[in-house]
Amino acid sequence: MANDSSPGSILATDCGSTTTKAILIDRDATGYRLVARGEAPTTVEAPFEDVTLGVRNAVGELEELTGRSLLGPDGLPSPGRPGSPGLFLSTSSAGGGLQMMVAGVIKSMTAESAQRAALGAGAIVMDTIAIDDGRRPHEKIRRIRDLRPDMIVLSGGVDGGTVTHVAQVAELIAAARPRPRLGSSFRLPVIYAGNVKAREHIRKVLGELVDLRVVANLRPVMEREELGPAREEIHHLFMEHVMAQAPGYATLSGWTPVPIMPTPGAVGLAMQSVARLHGTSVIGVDIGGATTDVFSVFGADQELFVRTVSANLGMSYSVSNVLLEAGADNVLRWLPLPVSPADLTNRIRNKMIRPTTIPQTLEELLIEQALAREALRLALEHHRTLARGLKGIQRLRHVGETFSQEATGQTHINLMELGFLVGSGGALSHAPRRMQAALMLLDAFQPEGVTRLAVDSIFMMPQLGVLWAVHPEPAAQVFERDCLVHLGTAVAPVGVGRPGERVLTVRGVLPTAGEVEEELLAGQLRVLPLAPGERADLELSPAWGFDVGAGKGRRARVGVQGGVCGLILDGRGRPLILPPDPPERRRKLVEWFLSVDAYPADLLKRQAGPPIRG
Amino acid sequence: MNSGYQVTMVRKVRKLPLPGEVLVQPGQRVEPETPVARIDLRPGIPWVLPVGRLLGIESDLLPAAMLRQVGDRVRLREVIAVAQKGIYGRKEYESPTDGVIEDISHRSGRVVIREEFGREEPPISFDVAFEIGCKPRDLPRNMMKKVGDEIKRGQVVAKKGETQAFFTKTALAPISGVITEVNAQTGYVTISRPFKEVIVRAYVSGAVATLLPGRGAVVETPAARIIGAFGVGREGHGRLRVATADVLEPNAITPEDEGAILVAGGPVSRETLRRALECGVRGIIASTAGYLDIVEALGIKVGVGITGQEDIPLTLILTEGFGRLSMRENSFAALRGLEGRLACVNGATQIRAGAIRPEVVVPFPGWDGPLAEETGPEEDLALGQRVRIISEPYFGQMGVVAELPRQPEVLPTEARVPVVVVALADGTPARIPRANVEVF
Repeated sequence: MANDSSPGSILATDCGSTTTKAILIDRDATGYRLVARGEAPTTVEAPFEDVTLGVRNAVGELEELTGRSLLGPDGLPSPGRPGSPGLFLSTSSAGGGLQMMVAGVIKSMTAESAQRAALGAGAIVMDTIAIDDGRRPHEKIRRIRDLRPDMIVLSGGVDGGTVTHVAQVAELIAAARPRPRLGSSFRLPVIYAGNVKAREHIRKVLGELVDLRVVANLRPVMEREELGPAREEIHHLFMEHVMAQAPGYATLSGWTPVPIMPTPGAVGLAMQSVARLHGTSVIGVDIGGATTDVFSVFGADQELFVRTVSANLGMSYSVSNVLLEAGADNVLRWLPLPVSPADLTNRIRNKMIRPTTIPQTLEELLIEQALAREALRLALEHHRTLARGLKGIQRLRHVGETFSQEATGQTHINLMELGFLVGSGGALSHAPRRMQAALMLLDAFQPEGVTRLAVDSIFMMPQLGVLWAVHPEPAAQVFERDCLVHLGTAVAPVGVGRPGERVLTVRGVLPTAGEVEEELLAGQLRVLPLAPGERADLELSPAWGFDVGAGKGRRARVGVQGGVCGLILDGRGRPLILPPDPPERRRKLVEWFLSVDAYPADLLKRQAGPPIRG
Repeated sequence: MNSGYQVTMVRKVRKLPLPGEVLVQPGQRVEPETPVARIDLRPGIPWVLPVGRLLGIESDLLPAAMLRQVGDRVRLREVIAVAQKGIYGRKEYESPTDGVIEDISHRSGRVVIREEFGREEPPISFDVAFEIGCKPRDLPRNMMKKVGDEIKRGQVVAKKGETQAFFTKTALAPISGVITEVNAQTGYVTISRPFKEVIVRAYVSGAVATLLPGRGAVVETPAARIIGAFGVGREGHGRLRVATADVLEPNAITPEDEGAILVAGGPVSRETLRRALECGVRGIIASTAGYLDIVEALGIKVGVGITGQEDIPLTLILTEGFGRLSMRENSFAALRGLEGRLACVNGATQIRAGAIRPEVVVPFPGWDGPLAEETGPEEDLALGQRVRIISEPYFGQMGVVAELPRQPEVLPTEARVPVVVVALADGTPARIPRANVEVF
């Protein structure tokens, strides 16, 4: 239960670029629960130009739904008033979110650290400037001048190291005379998070030109990255500068005792908290209309947190770009129905120009979900390039590594180690059957071994993230009970087998099915019943050459959690290879979809046969 | 109103990206080509020079070695820094360019000089083939830079003799600028100053309503305005000609259509677009086109939904989108009623928040009739309203709202959403998600 300092009820809003979402959380005998959710169009742009109007409208919907008056007579949150929420919180990504440029000395070292700091704070990174980025000084200067970011993070050098290089980067920024995106009257904020020895010089070079903030070096020594202080300063400046320029935010921030956070930054906090709560590695993905964010938390103590934004991968505004980047063949391979590439491109572009339409037919739904698989796959590929160890560090090696010396800077995304995969965004959260969301996650990310799957039911992770920062207990309770829909656990042995060959034997006792001993064959996809809240201890015996986490052919004992989909046994192989012949591939897809009851069976069978159109 | 179109007061903000010179007066009558504001962009190239290293001195001694200071204007070959080491160790550093010293760093030992160009310096052509001793036709092979590349004074433009360094001949750029021509007939290379004159024109014919000091003006005119769903190509104008009510065939376009804006009530094909380019047609307003046909014929690809800056001589506006559909009746009737008039078109489409859709504006500068209110695109659904279905399986079909069920219904996909019952043209009722119909 919550302690005495916890608020009775909490009102939290997230001002997105199109919709403002408000949630009301209340305490009952069992703890904190979500009471209701309301939404209204965001009012940051003309003719309204006041974000608080949208917030009031969203809260107004909550008031209608709950029959309670949540705002005072003056239209403001009044925590002291009886019946009013004790706490008001907000996040925001309206007005284009936070757009940043980062600069460092070496592209794959300090510049990459700066990039991780900016992304982790919830920013969109417009460009990365480094001494070795292959561009000539005047080209970099022009780029800095043309971009007009909200702020710049400058890093470079280890503490006490050479000053020359980071000074050069600072001088480039000075030569560009950068101007901020919003508000021409104030100076562009620049955060310096580099070599402490160069601070004085950086102040001389940039102090007059920009609003310079100096924080601790994010790479104090080669072997360590400390992103916390830079990230905090970014949040601080986001409030002070960027939000202050957006209409109505000054008022809104007066309503809340906690600073307004950038939405992705708050989601990142939520993901980190989930990883700590479950003591496991987590990948979270939020697939939106314009962008796809991927968050990962790995490491023995869940200390490696990385966020990336794939700015042009999304399901409505950017849907054409998914097709361009993935290629029509990669999208078509997930379709159990014959569709011609010309027909596909026209349909997708019509979706782009009318982003609010929703699939009415099974065919349309399948196309949308095929695109979502590709967008997710590409976003994870992008994420891997940034979620990696530090480059350029010395490592102590032992004799066993004589023949397998790995370079530094390897990705730390290990899908076998991954314990929890959380999906969010319309395509995943609003899939008509939850099994469809589970399949999209399995096909796109191809998690290995044993992995729990979940989706965010109504996208309230931003609000919970900011709540987590101040009151972890209510946030954790609501997260588990109302935010996440547990889909179940997937078991996917790594290896490729011949069709019909045994890849895994599962033994154990399931709460409803009783004692089971099931064989999983190569190319099979099956489900065993395991309801939400149920758990089971299983013995997994992979065939020779297959691995479920304990090593090739080694038996593993695992505890698995249930969910709305159950226990998914995925024998399709890792990597998942689809049959190259289109009719054979479509037949296989239909077989898989039917075996896990992902789509209406009669409709799927009926539609899977017509000749190619267009 | 008249033949299907309505005349509203259309206001267009015509604005420079940076402060410049405004060329019009309030109340002045303007035509589409009238310049409203102009600016000469002179992107001075900064030279970042490692002067400390070249003089062989420590970086912190650089300020003392400088003869000229920050803010000073320096000339080409002017000595700007001197280092003295003993009696014979005098080293001088000459400026490689005309410009203003912007920074002297005692940390990195570098000096930044921002090059300045005269306002109207002519481009320079010089015989590069002769300098490197090659035949003019071999010049393109020996070029180190290509057309459009930026080059600084003294950089190598072309080089002959890759392998034997001793016999290598090079030609150096006499001025900084952008390479604008490599002539394989004469062997000359032309370098132009990176001058960029940006002119904002009126785009529509009308009158200047208000001035935006230093930036431009708002031009207003009574006009008929038709909005499309998707477009490509820049602003343009021409006489409106309704070519067909159906599919626009290539042979329907003739050389007389040069500069015209053609209207088709049906789709356009790849061949038609090619023919239009050949004949110099300025714009096409059609119902739909195949995406791959646009890619093939116009050579552009659309990723995220932002267009309008394509460098193509033709502006294409699709009123319905992609695929094969006919134009909605009221749009076509309006365009037919406007035939023969001057039409201003803009293909710019931006689908994100603050959406911009392509438009056709037909000005009526002398209009003294009543002005209609411009209606917003969003209208609530009501019984009896004519709607168009914008998603499969009824994509493009029109009908009338027959019923608005209060409760959400389950679709074939099993999603539960609010629906509308539309009576299609043949009277069949179709249950459609409300998000998938457009009112018109």
